[in-house]
Amino acid sequence: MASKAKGKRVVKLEYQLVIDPTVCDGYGYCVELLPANLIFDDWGYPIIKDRCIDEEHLELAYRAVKLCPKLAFRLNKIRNE
Amino acid sequence: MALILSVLGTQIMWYVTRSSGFIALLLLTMTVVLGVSSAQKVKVGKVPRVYFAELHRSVALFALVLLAIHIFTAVVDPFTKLGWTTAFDPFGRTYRPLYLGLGVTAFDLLLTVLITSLLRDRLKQRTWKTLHFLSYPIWLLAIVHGLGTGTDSHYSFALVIYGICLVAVLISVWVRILDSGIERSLLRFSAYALTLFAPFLLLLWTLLGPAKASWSKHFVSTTIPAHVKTNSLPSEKEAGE
Repeated sequence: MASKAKGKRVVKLEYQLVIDPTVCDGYGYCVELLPANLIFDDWGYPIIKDRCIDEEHLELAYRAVKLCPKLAFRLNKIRNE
Repeated sequence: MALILSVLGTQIMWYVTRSSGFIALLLLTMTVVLGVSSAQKVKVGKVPRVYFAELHRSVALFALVLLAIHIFTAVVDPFTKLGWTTAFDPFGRTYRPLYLGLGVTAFDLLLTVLITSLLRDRLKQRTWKTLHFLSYPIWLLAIVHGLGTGTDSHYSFALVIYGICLVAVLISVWVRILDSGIERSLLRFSAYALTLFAPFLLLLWTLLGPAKASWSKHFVSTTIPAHVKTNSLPSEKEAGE
């Protein structure tokens, strides 16, 4: 996506995950989908290891957004210039 | 030749309607079971739970495809004379009105559940969840619709399918109730009562009605072969009302 702007100023898009801990019920789908970014705590709730989603994991991250039963998992798009 | 083709055509529609109905019911049952068990965080071996959540979605959509086929073939079948508006309108039908109406009601409710699920991120979580509970009555309506419409209800294969569906959902619901917390005991109690009472009534009604070979006879339409010309339809209309 970002690499299309070849030569010119490169706008790099970055995707960061956000989990609302007050809503999260510990279904754990996001942890199962994104083991590179999240781990389980002792009670089965997600702990964020790395907020930033790699391009290759983006589709999985979108699936986590879609599947989260509580809609506690979100993706933020951040523009880095 | 054209007559043979048209006869074959309507017959095929009729067979597809019936079989897709059964498959749709099995898929809906699977959807309910998957939904109930993923809601209570059931873990099967080392299989990630997210698989069941994904499967719940996919099977539900697949069931809708089968339902689309079921309804399409039923409407297109010239014998039923249903018409497109009756695909969504549960009332005012002449062909097996009550039990078809229940099926259409179930379909309308299912569309509600589908749409609210697709727009889940724009709704209040509570609204979505409340509407999602419609799935239970939808599933029950689907079974009553299938049994009551009754073309195959006296066959043992059909009764076995209905039995499998009933047992599967009952087990998963009971496990769910047993697993839920002590709080909201009134809700739990009424759920128990309902899951004991409703299947009992369903069983009784099935044995007294649809399971008998004579059940579908009182829909005059089933005794008329599908290739009979349309001039016999007025009598069916009277019988249906």
